[in-house]
Amino acid sequence: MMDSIVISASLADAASQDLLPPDRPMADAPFGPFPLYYLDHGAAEADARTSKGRHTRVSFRLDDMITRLLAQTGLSREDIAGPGTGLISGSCYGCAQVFEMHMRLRKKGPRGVDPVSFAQATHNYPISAAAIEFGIEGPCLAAVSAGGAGLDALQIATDWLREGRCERVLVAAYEDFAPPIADHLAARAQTTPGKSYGEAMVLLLLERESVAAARGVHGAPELMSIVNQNTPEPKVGAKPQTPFAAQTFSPRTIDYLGAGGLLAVHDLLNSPDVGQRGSEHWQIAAPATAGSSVAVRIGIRQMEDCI
Amino acid sequence: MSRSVVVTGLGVVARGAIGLPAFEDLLAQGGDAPDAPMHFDTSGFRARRAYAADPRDTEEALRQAERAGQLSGLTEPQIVCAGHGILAALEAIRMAGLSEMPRGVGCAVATTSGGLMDGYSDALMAGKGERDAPDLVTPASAAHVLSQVFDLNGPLCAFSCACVSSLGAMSYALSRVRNGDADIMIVGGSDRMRAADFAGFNALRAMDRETCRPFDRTRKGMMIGDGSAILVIEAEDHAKARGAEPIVRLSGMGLASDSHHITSPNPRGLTRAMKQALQQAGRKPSDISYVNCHGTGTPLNDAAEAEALDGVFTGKGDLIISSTKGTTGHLLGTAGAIEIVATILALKSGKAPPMLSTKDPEDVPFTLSLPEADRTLATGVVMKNSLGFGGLNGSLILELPDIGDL
Repeated sequence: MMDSIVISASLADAASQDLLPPDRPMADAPFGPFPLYYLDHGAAEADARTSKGRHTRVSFRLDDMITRLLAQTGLSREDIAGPGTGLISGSCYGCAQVFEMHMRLRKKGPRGVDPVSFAQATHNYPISAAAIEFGIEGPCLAAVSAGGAGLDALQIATDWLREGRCERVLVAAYEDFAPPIADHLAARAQTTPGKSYGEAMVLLLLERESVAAARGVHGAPELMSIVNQNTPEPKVGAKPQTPFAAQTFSPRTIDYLGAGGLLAVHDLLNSPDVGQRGSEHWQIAAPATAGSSVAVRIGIRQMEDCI
Repeated sequence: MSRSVVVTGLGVVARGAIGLPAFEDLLAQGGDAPDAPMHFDTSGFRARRAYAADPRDTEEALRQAERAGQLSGLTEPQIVCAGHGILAALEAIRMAGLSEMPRGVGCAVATTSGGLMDGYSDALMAGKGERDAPDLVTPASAAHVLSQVFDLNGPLCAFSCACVSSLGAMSYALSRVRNGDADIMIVGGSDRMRAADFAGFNALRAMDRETCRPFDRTRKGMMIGDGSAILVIEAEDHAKARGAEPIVRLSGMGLASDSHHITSPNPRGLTRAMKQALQQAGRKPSDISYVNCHGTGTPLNDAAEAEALDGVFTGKGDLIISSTKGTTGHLLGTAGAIEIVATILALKSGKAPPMLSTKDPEDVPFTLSLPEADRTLATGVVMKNSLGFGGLNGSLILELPDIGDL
């Protein structure tokens, strides 16, 4: 019988109204000139000054979150090193460095593009840098599929575990608003009153149940099913298609784009309402974004009463 | 649930080659010498040439398809964003005999950077504000365009993980069909060359100024290319039920990272990916007759790749290996897809494509697919490998549909 897959840990850094200075509007108020919420990048910027720019701020945060996740789970760096661990990221816009490089080329010509910044200008740089840092040798990929990216990453991680490619996967989803992504999103928010976007990074640990149990973890939520459906945007003249019905758990009002779906999973797992009625089955839909009509459903149930 | 997966359609756009017959001719003849790309100026760079598809040829072919009633309502931004991909997908879908697109067909597309964010940035820097196609700036835009143009409403995903992107997309598509999430997936890559990527490889001094010479002692680097390759992959039982002819079977996929260095590959990752692919396919190294290598023509890549192959195919001197990048150029995110098509063509013809630009071959413990060598494939089981920046590796095993046990 196939080993179950469990989500044995989750972490999230999400920009929110709680982090805004008191004079800024709240999330449910009109935003006016404040359509974007940023994470605190102070630590990454301090690191950049001392480490000769080895990290981008996304790769810095991913390394930091993996370190925090290890502390949370009691896993060591040695535990996740080697081919038994995979790493996957999902993001709508990916790494801003990819686009910043074009702007530097336009401003400064060929001298504006150096080998280090070019090496960082791939959407897989954060996972590659983390794989090198932590010795991860399992499968590593970067999905960039708009609003569903984080949940796509979750599905791909599930594929890897079910296909026996590795025994645990670190699943990351992020959005980072450096130029020109920030300019683009600010312009988009202006066309939709009340719309706001937030930076976030979410990290989940998926494991085969037997692997989690072997280190004493029992009762972790089981990932039961994931379905990826795509309803294409209606063509001109056609009627909009009704999205399929899905019970949505999305308590946040800010749009975290490709990180939103995985953030909803994190929120669900950390909600006091979850698991109160024993075994439960939840569904999460990735938040829709303009230009993306990908939606994903997953099922999660608490296993405490099953073990 | 794990279903057998076959390829039922292929489409390709490469430099000087729109469509499979032209692509076969390109692989056999080597094509014209590399030249400066049409859509940006390379005069300020150290290396100035590339294997770029002419965007005017692609647009004309798309407009012709519109006039023939095969496509309709393509917008200019869609063509800039995904024109090569639309054209390749049209060919693949027609070859697969999908005159009416069934519900639930999925789409997985690889890209290097994807979307029209560069155009947005240009407009922003010129003080023009938002572009007229703000929905097409994300890296997934080509995938979205294909899903819109061809009414694909099954699973959709886009991948951008350097040069292993296409094998990532193929891995995802294989899982969707094997697991029963979709009967048919449209999968491949689509890329239009970016000035920024050209500048980056120029800064790395990873480009040869003259041509790309994979596995040549005098190799100096890669030559960037662009275009698209799209495949229709399908559950074998589904294909047979609708009377579609399987072209090849996709039997094994391996993915692994080498956890070594951002730009310098280590052989152990690729070795593991190949072993994983063989295990999934239920094949032995001795079953493989041909490997289409990543073969960028950089000193580091080709050496690491030969070492990785030696770790799996030790003592198998009759294994034919080649890289088609000397002919197509390096299509980066789309490289794996176009090389899967080249590998399928080799499998169907029973002969590996010649490495026409490799004049002074490296001493490797395998049979390089040089023009004068016997390039006949001894078995109907072959392998396609890709390596990407950051130590990402992928390996795919393809078989003739009726090969059976060896």
